[in-house]
Amino acid sequence: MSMTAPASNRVRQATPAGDRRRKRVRQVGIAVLMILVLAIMLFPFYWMILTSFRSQVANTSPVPVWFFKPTLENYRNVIEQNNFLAYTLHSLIIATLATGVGLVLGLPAAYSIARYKQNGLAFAILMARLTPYITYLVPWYLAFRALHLIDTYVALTVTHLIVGMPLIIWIMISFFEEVPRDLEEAAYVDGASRFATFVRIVLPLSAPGIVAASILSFIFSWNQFLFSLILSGPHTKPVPVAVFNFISYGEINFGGLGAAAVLITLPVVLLTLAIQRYIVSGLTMGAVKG
Amino acid sequence: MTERAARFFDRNAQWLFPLPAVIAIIVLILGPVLANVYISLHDWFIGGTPKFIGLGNFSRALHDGRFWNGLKNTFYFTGIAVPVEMVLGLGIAVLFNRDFHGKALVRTISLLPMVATPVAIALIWALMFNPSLGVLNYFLQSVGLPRSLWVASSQFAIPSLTLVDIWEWTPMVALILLAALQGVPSELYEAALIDGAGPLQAFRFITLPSIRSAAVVALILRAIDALKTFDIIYVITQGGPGTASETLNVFAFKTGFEFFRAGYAASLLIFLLVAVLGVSILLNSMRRSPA
Amino acid sequence: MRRRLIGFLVVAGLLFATLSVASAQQFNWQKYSGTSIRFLMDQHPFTNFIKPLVPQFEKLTGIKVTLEAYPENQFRQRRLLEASSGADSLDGYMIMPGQVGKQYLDAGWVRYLGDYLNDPTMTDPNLDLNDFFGGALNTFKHDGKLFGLPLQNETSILFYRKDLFKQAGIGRAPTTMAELLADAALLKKGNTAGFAMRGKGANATSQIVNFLMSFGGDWLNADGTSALNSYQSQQALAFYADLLRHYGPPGPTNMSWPEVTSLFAQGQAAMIFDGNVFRSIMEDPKQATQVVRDNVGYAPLPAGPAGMKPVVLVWGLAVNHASKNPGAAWYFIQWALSKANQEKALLAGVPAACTSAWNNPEFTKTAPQDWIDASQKSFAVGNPNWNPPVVPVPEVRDAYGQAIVAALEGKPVAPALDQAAKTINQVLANQ
Repeated sequence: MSMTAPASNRVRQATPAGDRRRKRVRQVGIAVLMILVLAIMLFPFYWMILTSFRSQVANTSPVPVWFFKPTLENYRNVIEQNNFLAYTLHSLIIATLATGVGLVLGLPAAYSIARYKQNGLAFAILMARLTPYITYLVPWYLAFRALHLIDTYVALTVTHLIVGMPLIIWIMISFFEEVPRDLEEAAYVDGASRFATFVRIVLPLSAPGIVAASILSFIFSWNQFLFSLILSGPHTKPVPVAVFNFISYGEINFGGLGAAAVLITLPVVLLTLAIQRYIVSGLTMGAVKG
Repeated sequence: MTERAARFFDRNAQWLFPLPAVIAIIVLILGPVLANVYISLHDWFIGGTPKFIGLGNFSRALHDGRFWNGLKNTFYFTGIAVPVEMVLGLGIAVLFNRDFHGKALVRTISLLPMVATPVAIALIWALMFNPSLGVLNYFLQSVGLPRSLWVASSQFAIPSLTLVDIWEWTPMVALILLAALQGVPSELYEAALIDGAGPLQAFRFITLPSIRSAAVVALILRAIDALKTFDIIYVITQGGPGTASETLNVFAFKTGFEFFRAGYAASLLIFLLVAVLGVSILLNSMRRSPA
Repeated sequence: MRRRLIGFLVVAGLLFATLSVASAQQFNWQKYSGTSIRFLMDQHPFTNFIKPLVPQFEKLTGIKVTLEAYPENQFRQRRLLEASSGADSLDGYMIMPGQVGKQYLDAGWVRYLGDYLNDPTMTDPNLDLNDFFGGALNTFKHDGKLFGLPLQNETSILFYRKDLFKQAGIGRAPTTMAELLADAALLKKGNTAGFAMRGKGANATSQIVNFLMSFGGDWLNADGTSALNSYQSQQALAFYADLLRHYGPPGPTNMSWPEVTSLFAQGQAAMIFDGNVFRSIMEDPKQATQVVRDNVGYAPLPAGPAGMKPVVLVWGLAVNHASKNPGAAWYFIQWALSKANQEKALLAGVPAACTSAWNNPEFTKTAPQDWIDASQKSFAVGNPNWNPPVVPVPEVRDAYGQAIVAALEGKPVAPALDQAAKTINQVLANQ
């Protein structure tokens, strides 16, 4: 996606010398603004990282302690004493399963909506997004408890589907609409079944969208707090819930909290870095075309 | 697949493709929503036995000042957060809509606030908001402004919370609008230039209408999510001070999971669902009106 | 030959029978060897203390133990959901009778321990019920029947900065509410608050109740309706609000124990009033500044017009009624709260509820004398009703909390308390 300066920027005429100076000032001003915006976006992360390397007394100091001797104790505390790697593994399993199932169920559905213009179904999917998540909690808790599925990957995967699947469908509808019908028709005429066409022609052509949708679904499952809070247990405790380990009856361990926050957010950041191009196109495709 | 199966599939493709997803939706979504309706018709203190009371919970809510407070706070929060996000998002999109180095980096940074784990971010913001020990007041004082109570004040609790939401989601709005801006053909601007239009007029008559559909989509997305916001409010203020930042969502959670009145909580959630539905239908109608 | 064999068998049989009966009369830690039990615990210093010791118990008894800990709100939710559903996979839990006692007892979710205590094969002969603080043990009795054992006795005390007192020319910690107000006025300087205390709605009720009682107020009238709008209650709330509004830190309505204790630990408050268990924060170099660590003093609750009337918060362990292994759960409880373990717990900072631990010279050597005095003075007269003895405790606390927030924001006290009482009466009537 290349960016050329839009024509609106060229809508101006003036004398060369003054024009150059004004342009310089303007450029500097714009650069400063850009940096300011980016700095604001990054500041809480910066604070999170600082907090994770400071001791408790430094973290609660009224005058911010900008310069200090960093300590690794918070990280050691989080990883060793709090079994954080186990929680990371839980989150990894849940997010992967939820995304996987979300793809298996969602891709065909999105294709169907795109292909057959099933607006009613699209609306039903949207309904899923409208409902406040708490609405699901009590019925699910009762159901899963009756089925002895509390603290199992089944329960968590299934509930995280609620977050991931509508997202996948919504993003993929736009991508599937982009696939040229002629290619599909050609394959169909050649004797391939609809299903084969879907798998062999449509899916590969929509790969960037699938990647974007999967990553986003993974991320949102990773970040899911409310369902995990009520339905998980020691065998499946995911990372957002684990952050609360640092809030106990007699102490809020800010350093530990910061370190946990960094460790939770880090995989998400890395993932985002690796495929930011796909995420942006995935998001914006859905918005701009939809 | 066998020949016959393939043909059966082909003929019924439009039902079979979405079928697994539909089943999932019915079981996982529709089921609980209906169960919620059922629960809302009962008086049920968790640990006791449910008692059918028809619409008793609903009429109780309508007479409950705390319910109206929750509804008001929900719209107050959304009413600040979403417009600010749209305007700021547009501004940022315009700002970044030009040639420069490091576009990929900017894109990545813009994504971070929305993908960061909300619970973790909220706890850091809570620390920053502390009136005596937080860094935000330190910044205020260092430029000569008085300290603020931020979320510790009934008056500023919701506005302060919207700051967090704005920080988190404006970049997403900006990204969507930026993509839309980049889709505007430059010929339109050149034509306007030839016709003698200034930059402000170009913005008003070319830019805005062109990005309208993307903007409406972003608006609907944000409005729905803002109405449903839970994590940051629950983590930072738990609805306080008092009930100053208690949105309907938080009130429902407290009623169900702290006061253990499942029936009443269920009815509150239905009210919220109706509100969200209403808003989304209203906004959706904007989509279909001619550009 | 055959007669001798039969005789031998009979004697052997009798001997065997006698021996079995004899050994059955003795307490045996290994009785439930091979079973597994699961306890739900609050994320609490006691849990941190007992967890590493669990392997000792497992070795001693052959019982496998899982301790599941959660932060307080989640812990209460889970415990309620599991107890109310009769989950047999839950064997025991931590519990505060002052908070959920009535609810759990009325519903029959806790198991009484009388039969175990009367059975010498089920109870460790070293278990001495008289060693537990009487008041604490009583909170675990209903109609004289014991349903658990206390693990902690917490009370709220005054924390104060001896150096700041000296600078202001104040000779000793305040002993009356009037002195408290006067001292706070003298001590408030710049960014340092004279006095700080919780103000965050429901969370603050466990602290303000000390003031409520000391001004002569109480939770309920004799007829069971709310007494929070009584004259004495209004006096207490007005005093508290005045104190904090004039001499307290900014934003008290958002302060719970983390904010209050951090404030003091950072040297930003000359006095605070909160749980004696937080002494561990003030003496920890990682959490408190040097000047605070060197100058922290402790004093009991100042006396109000009705005297010094503190409350005590008791945590303990109980057996889940639906448990499949109640015997094994009981074994864990009596081991965890044995004299030896309670001594160690107190040394680790958990205010254990047994006399021998507090008299332990190893402890008296290391703990500040004024903290011991303040705590014990409070324990001696402590009232276990830090919540009203009703079922919907969270809602009652929430209603009182709303009045607290209103008062702290300068609104008139009487109408706020009237509203609270009205809400509470409605909630109680709906039960």
